[in-house]
Amino acid sequence: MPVVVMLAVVVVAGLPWLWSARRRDGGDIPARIVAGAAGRLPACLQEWGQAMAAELPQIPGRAARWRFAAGVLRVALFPPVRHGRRVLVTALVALAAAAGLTAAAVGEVPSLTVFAAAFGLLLAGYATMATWRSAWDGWTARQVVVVAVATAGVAASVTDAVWIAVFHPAAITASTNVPAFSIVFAVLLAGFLVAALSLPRGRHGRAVLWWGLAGTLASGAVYVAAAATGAVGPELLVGLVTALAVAALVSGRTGSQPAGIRAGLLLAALGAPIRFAVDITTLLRVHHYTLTDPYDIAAFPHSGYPDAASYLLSDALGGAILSGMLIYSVLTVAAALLGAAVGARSSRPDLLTDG
Amino acid sequence: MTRTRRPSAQTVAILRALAGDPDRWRYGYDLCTELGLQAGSMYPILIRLADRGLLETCWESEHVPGRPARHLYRLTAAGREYAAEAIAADTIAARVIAAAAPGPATGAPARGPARPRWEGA
Repeated sequence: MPVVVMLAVVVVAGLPWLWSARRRDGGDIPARIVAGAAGRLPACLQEWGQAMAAELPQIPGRAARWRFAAGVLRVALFPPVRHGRRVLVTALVALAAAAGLTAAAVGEVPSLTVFAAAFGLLLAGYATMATWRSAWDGWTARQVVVVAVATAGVAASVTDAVWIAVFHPAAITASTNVPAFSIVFAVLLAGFLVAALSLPRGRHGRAVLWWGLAGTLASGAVYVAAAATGAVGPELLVGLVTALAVAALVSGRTGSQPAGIRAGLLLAALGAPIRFAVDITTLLRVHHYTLTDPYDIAAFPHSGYPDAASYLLSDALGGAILSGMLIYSVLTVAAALLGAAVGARSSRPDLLTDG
Repeated sequence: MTRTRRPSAQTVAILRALAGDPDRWRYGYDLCTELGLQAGSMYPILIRLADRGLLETCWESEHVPGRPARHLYRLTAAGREYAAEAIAADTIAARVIAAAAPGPATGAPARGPARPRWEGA
């Protein structure tokens, strides 16, 4: 049921965007694919993106246009390899590191083996792709900043999970869904890193980065304040309102609805791990594991967990992955779509210009 | 010592098309239709050739109503030399493969060379 509700929210929020995109380009999906793919090429290949986009209007026939759009998408996803040896070395080193990480997990925290293997492989693929693309572009200061913030959030989340695995191993081993949760956790964390690297690229990248970062820091400060004061409940609302506001602001200022959506998505990608880390760290710091909920009191004796701490931490960890990361991200995407649509209606691109 | 990799069959085909009339500016879809190549294969090769200084590019100066200006391509002087070498090497390789291939017993002409594997530009 929650999945259905989430999908419904995203569809409803995405309708204004789909409608405006359809009106903007006459409903021609290949043209939209080519424009989107061309915009995702590395900066120094942007002229080639424009070249491919300029060819589309003369291509007759729906099938030929779809084939051409698929080709442009392929070029955008896998631009030609430059410095192939460097990419190969990166891939090999990253794979070796992933194998080392998995081996270390097998020896030290066996309950996190699946997570370590999945996360290591995903990061290896990510590092290879990043090297592949950065061979064309290099790294800009804005990418370094955003990757540093994203890495800090992800590292804090992983540290919390390792802490639990070391000091309360039963919180993970006694759970019946360890492989599924491990893989979801790894995919989400790797996805946040990839999003953080790719979203500030391209047109209006500077506005996307700085407003996304400002929104992340503002909502992160609220998470920390709420955790420090023991306030319960404002995190989700704050995250959604911030994503809505940032998307509307960027969309309105740049005159670009996609830029507004990217800013909102960047906020989600940077904010979700921070929120997870704040939640779990607060729980670990309080170190007060008492069953108070009647359902938990009744269920605990039959749960298979050896102590209340493991039972509560397992519940908190699963909840933080599902609601704190997955549902939060989906709802933030919906808020970003809505905010960008609202911002586009009151667009004032004269206020901000950037590359 | 720099290792020079043999260009792929698709690269040679593009070089051959561009070298056929080296002064003429070509555009991407024109080459795609002439050679039967997909955009996803054509553009990475054009990008690599331009990156190596073998291809010069410019934007169409003539304004045609109803469509944007196209990106045009032709070989540079270095590109023409490279194309001549690549085409000559490809022709020799094709002859060698054709001569080595056993002909059918009926005396019919031997089959052409196998399509070389894609190796990048």
